[in-house]
Amino acid sequence: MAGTTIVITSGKGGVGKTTTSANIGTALAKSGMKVVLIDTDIGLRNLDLLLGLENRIVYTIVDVVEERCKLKQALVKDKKNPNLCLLAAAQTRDKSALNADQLKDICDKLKEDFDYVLIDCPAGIEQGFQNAIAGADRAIIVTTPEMSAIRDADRIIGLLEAKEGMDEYHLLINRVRPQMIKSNDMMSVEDVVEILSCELIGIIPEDTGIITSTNKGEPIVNDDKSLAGRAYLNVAKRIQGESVEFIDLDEPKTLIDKIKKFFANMKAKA
Amino acid sequence: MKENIFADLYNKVISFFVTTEEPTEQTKLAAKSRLKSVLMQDRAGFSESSIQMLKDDMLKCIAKYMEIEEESFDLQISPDDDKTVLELSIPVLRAKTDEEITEALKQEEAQAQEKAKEIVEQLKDIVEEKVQELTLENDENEVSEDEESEKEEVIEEETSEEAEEIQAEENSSDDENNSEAVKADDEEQSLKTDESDEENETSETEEKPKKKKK
Repeated sequence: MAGTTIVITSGKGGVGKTTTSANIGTALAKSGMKVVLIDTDIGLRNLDLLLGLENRIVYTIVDVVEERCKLKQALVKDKKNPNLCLLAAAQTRDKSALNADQLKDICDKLKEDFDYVLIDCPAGIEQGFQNAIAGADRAIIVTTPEMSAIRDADRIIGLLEAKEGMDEYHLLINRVRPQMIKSNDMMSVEDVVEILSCELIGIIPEDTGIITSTNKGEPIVNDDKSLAGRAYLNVAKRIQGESVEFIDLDEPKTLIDKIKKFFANMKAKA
Repeated sequence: MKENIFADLYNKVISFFVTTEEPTEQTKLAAKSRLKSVLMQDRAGFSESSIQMLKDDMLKCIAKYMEIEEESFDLQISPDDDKTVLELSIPVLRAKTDEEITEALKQEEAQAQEKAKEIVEQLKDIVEEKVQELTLENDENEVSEDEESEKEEVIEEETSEEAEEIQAEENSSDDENNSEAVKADDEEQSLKTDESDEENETSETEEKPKKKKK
């Protein structure tokens, strides 16, 4: 059975597309699926960095398209996670080096050998975006609970709705801060879902561990203790069709949080 | 003084453990409503220039029937549940009298008629231009037609000349054939007459001696 192509997009930059791609890809590969990650941010590549594969890139997607190498030669296999491969973006070109049909072709070829083809989409709605969505069957729209990110995500959803062949798309809300939501300083998950009217596939809490994981070149899903890592693992399960409850991010984690909660409850009862 | 310090300290300790929930619900609702409004405008796809043109159009129309404060004229496109609603807010100073209204409508019609006349003039010019173009083309065509027919005549003449030549050649070759035949005949005949002459001569000479012998 042929694989599925999923594009991870957002419109707004910096909301966590590449982090999400790296983590979902790693999670799917860990669960036994054969996954290939494609970085389409030509000229500003970063997926290689997040996976710790930046020194292993010999050929890029532009080399494949310009026929300097075969597709297989450009796939970098992750030694820590053999089910996972990376097709890196060229760093010395820009997004005009590739067109939509070429990327679609590559996706169709890869679908024959992989269960999941994940496309990390660049920010914006221009050539890079158009290329990335061309070959996709499904989409994950990444947003944060902030006005600009939500506005851009709304535009992206509009563009995806208009695209033929896009079977389904889901929302992933990233960098959620439960405390701020509680104090009404941040829009809640329910608010965002209501505004965008898009089905939810993941809620990822803000986690400083993300920064450390990027520094190490190891996706945070590998960290069992991290809440964000667990949340990404759940997203991977949902992609495969499993129905998983969303983690309750309000649960007090540390002792101080528990004491605070105790006092807050006392005050409420009084 | 001491009590104040203690009170402060007490408040600080308590505030560490207890988060006072201020009514910030309002601020969040305001942000949500802002966002919804912006999204409605984005989704509707009205460009700023088209909204401005709509505003100007409406101002002109309304000004016919009532005196309004033009600077405070407000036009908003906002969400209403799942629909988009156009909201107008226009401070009205007074309604215009019937005479004023009819006057304004008359003016409008006069302007429209002027415009119509202008358009008709423009059309006339365009039609004239076109007609000139066509007549020129026609003349050119006629000239070229004449040229062409001349050419055709010339070609015809040439071809007929050629035909005549060919005919003449054929004729002359026929003649030649004929004359050759005639010549051949003549030659034959002359040969024959020669021979017969010779025979006659010999017979004559034979006869002559015969005559002499007698």
